[in-house]
Amino acid sequence: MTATPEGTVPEFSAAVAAPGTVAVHGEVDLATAPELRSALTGALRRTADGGPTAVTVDLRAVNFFDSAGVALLYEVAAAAALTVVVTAGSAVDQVVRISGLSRVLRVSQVPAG
Amino acid sequence: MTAAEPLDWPLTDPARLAAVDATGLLDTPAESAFDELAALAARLTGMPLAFVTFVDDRRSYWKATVGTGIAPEDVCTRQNAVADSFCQYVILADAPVVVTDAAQDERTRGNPSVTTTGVRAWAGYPVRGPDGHVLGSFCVVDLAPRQFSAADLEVLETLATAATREVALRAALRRAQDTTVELARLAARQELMARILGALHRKLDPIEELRELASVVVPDLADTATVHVLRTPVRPGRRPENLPVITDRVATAVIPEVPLPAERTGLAWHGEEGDPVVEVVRHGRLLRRPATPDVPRWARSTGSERTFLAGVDQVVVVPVVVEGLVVAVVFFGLHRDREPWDDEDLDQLEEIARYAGLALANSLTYQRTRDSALVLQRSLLTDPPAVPGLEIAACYAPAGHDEVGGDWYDVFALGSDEWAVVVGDVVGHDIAAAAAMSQLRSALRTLATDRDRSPAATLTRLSAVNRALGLTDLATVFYGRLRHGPAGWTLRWCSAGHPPPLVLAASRAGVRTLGGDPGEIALNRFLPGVYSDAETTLAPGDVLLMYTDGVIEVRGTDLAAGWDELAARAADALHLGVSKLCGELLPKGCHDDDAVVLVLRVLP
Repeated sequence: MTATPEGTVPEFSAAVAAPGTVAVHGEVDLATAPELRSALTGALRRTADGGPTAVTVDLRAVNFFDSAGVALLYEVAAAAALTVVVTAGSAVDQVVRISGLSRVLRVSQVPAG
Repeated sequence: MTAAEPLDWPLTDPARLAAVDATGLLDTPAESAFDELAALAARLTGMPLAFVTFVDDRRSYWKATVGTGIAPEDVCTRQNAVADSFCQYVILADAPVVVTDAAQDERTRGNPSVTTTGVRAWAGYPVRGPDGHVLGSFCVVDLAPRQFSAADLEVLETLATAATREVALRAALRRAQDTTVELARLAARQELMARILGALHRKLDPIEELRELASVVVPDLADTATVHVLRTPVRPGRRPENLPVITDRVATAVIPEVPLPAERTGLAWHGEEGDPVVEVVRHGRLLRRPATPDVPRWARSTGSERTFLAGVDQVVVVPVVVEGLVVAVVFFGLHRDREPWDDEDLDQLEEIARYAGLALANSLTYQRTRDSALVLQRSLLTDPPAVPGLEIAACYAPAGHDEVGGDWYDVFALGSDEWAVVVGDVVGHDIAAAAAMSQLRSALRTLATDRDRSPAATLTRLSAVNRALGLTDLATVFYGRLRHGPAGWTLRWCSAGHPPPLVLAASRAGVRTLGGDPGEIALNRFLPGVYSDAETTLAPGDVLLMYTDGVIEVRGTDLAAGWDELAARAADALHLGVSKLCGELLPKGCHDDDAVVLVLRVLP
């Protein structure tokens, strides 16, 4: 098959880095949020098998995070103990604080470096 | 079914199981042929999950999955037990199964997946083997109840047929490994269809879809392709009542040896002898015109005689039907140096026209809903009222391609000496976002005016309303009450996760931000919000600048930089009237989010 995908999709990935931890790369927006959602549901299901219902999302390699991502994190925070890892002072860190997310999940700030 | 057959017949039918086994697809990694069909189904129906499954007597194997995030080679995870699957119902029924709410549906409410994985809406069409056995299903899944439109089901039926054909291709591949020519032909055909599918669904503009259709067929299947769009769609199968039929020739594609006919509008087809447009409408399906040494009369009158003079001597005409009406007619031409089309080629041309109809139906639906959402949103964003002692202006910029958005602003009176100012942003860029915006806007108006509540109490109620009614997954709102008292204007405000407004002093002495770090909980469907009020005074000359994130959020820059930049631009434009100031602050050029600016100045 030679059908080519639409050429402008920015690189994005969400992979289970360790049990209960999802590492995200790229831009989180309306287009990529569904993929992040399934990665998070996958990680949640896995921990629900035995461990506590908790999940950590590493957002340090995310360079854009819009309201579709914020909505998703509210949803996950309602279902599990959620920790997000961000680079202190980064754009994602700011979004997490402004949008009120920091009141419903744990923010682990890692100094830039 | 006879009385002797077990209840789970034909799930356990040995002939069916043998056919499933013969596909050779069980426990094999994902392949693009099936993945692309599933991805297309998810995209066209708007469902988050899609599968192509093959089902034996124990489990449903997911040859393709979309939305589950399972790796292509992870063959162990790509399956569930037959008893947990919904595919079993397609096999038991030997027919499509559509479930709009699995928790209520008698057939499915006992299925463990309803509680374990939350499957609520499910639609599956049979994928059949060469002898007609149902091997598995082509299905889409949602975790919330939903209805399926006729167009959704048509998409699924068509794509399930494509999956069935893909299975047949595999069977042919194994059965006849010596007839390599035949195989190459089959494979090329499948590949072409895949390319056409991909091309057609990339565009949301119907005319663009038709241009793609023309260009993708040449030169693999035809030497010329010309698309005529009917000004007024007509019912196929009978002679059009109103003649002439008027068409616009919107797209043409040709091999290099043939001159390209110009795009032309207002071509008239009077239904005279040999008129291909009127004849194909009456015929209702593919029409083959005999090879002719002469240039047909209609070609002269429509400015395409040069195509025939260049050696095109065979033409087929195919109608493109959308929702029961012929909306376009496609002419395919073949150069005299080429092998004539055989029956299978003609089938394929007809099939392409059918896909084009589906793609068009999809893009037309998209345009209709988008247009109504735009109207809805614009109708709510009216000029702010005049308020004594204040100068107020608002403006709105849609995203890039005049997209629908969920941003809004509102200014309204609360009694005689108090005013409400609101800026909000609902996630999404579709009809659902526009509808949720309109509902939140009116809910906030109602809550703010029906009794004397503080902004925080109002937003706490609004949060509860949003959760109870499930209006939107996420919205941010800034709501302020402005009161004029003996000491001047005071603003009592509350923000639900909204980017903080700025207050700029006329003296340019500095910029204040109203809250925001950390912000209070955004309105969302999942968690309740409890809010608190803050208060500030506005001195004469102060400018209060409220906005949505589209104003500051540009990919690649962070919010702090966005605010600094916004504050700097506002300070530079502070001498302007509020309307001009608003316009200055809206993002310029191309941007992918919509944006609202609401500016208010306290008159001296």
